[in-house]
Amino acid sequence: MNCAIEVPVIRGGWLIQCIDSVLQQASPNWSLSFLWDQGDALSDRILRAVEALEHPRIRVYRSPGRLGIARARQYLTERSVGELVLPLDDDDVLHPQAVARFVQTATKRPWAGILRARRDFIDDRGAPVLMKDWFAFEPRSYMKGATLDVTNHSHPYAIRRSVLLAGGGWKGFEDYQYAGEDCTCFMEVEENAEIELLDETLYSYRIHGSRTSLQYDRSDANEMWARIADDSIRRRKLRVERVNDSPPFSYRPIARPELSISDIDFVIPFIENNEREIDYTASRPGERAFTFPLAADARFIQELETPVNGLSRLEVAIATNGPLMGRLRLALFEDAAAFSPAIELEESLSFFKAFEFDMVGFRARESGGSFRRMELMFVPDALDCPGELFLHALRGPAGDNALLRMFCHEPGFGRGRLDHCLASITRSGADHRAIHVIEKRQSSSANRNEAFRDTTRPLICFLDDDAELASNETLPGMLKSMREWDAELIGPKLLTPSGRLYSGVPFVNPVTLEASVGGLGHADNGDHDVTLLVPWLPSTVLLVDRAVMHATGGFDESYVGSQHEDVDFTLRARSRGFSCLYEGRVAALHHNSLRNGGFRRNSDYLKTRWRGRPDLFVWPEPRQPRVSG
Amino acid sequence: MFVVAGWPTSDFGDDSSVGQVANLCAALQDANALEGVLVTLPGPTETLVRQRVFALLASLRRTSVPAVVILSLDTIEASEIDNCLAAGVSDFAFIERSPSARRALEIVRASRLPAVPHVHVRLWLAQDECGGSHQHHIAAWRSSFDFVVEAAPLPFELDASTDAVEPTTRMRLECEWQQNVVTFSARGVVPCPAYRGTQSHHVTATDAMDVLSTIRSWTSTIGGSSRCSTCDRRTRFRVEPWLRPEMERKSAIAAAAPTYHDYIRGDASQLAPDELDRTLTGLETRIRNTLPSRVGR
Repeated sequence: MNCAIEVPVIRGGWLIQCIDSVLQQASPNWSLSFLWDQGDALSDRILRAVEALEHPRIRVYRSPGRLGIARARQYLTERSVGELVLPLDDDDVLHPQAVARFVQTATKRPWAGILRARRDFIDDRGAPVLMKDWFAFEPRSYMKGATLDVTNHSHPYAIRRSVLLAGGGWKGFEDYQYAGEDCTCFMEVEENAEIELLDETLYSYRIHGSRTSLQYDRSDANEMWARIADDSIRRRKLRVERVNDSPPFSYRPIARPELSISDIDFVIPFIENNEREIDYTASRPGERAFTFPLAADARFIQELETPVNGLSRLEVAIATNGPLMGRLRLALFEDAAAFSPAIELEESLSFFKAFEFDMVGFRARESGGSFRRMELMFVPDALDCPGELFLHALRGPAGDNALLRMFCHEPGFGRGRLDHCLASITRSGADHRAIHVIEKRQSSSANRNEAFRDTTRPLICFLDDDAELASNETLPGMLKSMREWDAELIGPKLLTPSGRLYSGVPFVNPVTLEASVGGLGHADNGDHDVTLLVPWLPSTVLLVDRAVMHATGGFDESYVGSQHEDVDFTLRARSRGFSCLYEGRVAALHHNSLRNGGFRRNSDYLKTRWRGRPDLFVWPEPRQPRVSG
Repeated sequence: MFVVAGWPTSDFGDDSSVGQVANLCAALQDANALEGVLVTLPGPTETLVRQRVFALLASLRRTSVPAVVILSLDTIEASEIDNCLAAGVSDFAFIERSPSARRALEIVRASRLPAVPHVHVRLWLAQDECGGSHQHHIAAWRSSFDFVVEAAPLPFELDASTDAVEPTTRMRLECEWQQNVVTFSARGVVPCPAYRGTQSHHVTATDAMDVLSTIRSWTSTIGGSSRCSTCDRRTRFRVEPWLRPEMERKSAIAAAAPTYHDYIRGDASQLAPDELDRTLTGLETRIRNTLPSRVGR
């Protein structure tokens, strides 16, 4: 990863120090470009001397007329190369570790659009000036998607180029010589990615009498900040209005108008999947769970509760306590007492670290036969790997059952599920023009984001293709509660086709950072028929104010497949001041036949991503509905 | 590698153990094989053992071996935290198992801890539940102190009256004590901190390579299985670099980092013409020195 250091130049007084600070970088991963923006004679002379050296990593450009700061930065960004853009002022200096630390941190935090570090202050002779920064250095604050502390930004910061360009690049105010570009940049980047803090001092800001910022007084600055805040409210389509004239800004919520089903666009990512799940009691985690060690000398033997016919795929739930390599073998027998298996399947396993849960699948090439018994065993490789393999299982009245899922091939099954999903939407009164089915072989996040761009209505309902609205009351119930509770995201209770709970109240574990749902596999006895604000919501059926999509940038496409991206999305919504409401008094059905090979990878990414935000892993502050139900 | 000293407390040994453990730790650290030392504090009635623990901590501090003192908030008093602070302890791991944080919060508030700067505390919660009360419990700690709150990475049985830990009582926090952690007691190196049997393996050498080779041979003695042969614990404890808080590591890096050097002080526009010429020539030379053909000459 390379860092493009970009310097618009109008003054030569401290330009030599500025250049020296780049030359002294500990990391070689930088390129340096200057735009001489009709500056003073000294800066022209210095840049001519630099240009003459034809250094392969240093470029000098000249503008035909004064562009102003925002257009000068845009000019440089359009011509520089490097995944990170690091703006530098011509009178400031970078600390030697700046490039190294920004590159290192950007690699570790791929979700970050801007990495911001601390600065200290120096005087015109380079001596330290001990003073407190006038801008805060802390996570940004939001109210219903609106940024309260628009001034919470300053040098130094490195921007991921892709995010900067997605936001339209650098913008400033013509009547202020194109100033305001840094504040605008932060506001637009946070609509597509995160602003992450790197708590190290990597920049020295020079205090001297000819600083550009001295050209503007406080009222000018307030005017620019107010415009930037109002622009962001319009871009994000927020239901708030600004009520004061200087930061930190306060906003007044605007009451949500009464909305109906005709105000909803429906987004359904569809993956053609012609596999039907075979009914099996221990197909979902539940009570009386335990792990069985699949050591070299121990096999797990189980009689299947009913004969299994037409098996095309089987997934078992496993865990390991350390690095592991070997082969997992599955033998299926047609008779409970048979000596020779009818089918033997094998899957190579190779894990580099411990994990508590993942699914590994066997694909049956020949699906004929009726199986009554199965045996699982693990054969470690000759290498002495320290890890052991464990099989997740449930203790049942008739013996132990492996936690597994079985599928059979059934042509047209996936499309049939989609038809059920669509029928349930149209039964609820939705216009077919509001239904957006996207059928692309890409992640759920990418599918949802892409389909969202075709929508226009104020609310978006994301549904999985294997979900159905349980009744015509589901959507009206969600709309009503959304308004009463003034929530921007809402999800119903999810049931399995057999009427058991698939997802009750969602919760998170603040210690392990795992997101879970209550009641999985339990009988639906009304325990989860409640309405409350929750830390996260599943996206199986998720109704979202479109402002949430605009304020967060939608689903993170770094998640592969279709798990954990909804946890991330709803946590990000909460981090922007939106509310997630669980409405357990209405329901949707979830058939869940989807397979995801990226479960563990997604889980690891989620935990890494949110490790620094423990505040989001506690229950939201309880409150009452705004309007009496 | 971690060294766990004084676990369980009654196994801490005699005065010679103090020097032996300190030498072992210093030698392992010299060989870049040591992450840190966990030290458990014996009960207040075990005065002699306590003195040895504090002597060990003093020895470790002198050799810059990172050490953490583990205290159970379920049983200690505020004065015991104060005693540790008086002994110069700056890294604590508090274990908390009670369903309510109230008593433990009162103990910490009553101690000198909140008033002492540069003390790093991890709060290890021995329970692992997801219910609302547990979350309130965590929230109570986080809103009161700037501690790192996390699930306990080790199985803790600090009560000296408790015999070997029943291996089937825990599922998630079970440990496998093989190559990454060495438990040191008066009887030598033992395979698991919960183990109190007699089949320990003595390490008497203070040369790091001898120690490592002895530990490797001990590892092979307990077998290729990652399961501890003594207590039958299953799950490997993955060692994280948690001994030193983030801030401290960063400041250590910063201390070693290069600092920016000004070749010119002040505003170049104020320089006399010949001075400016010399300054520009200097800059050109410095830029030339970073040209690829110049690097490494």
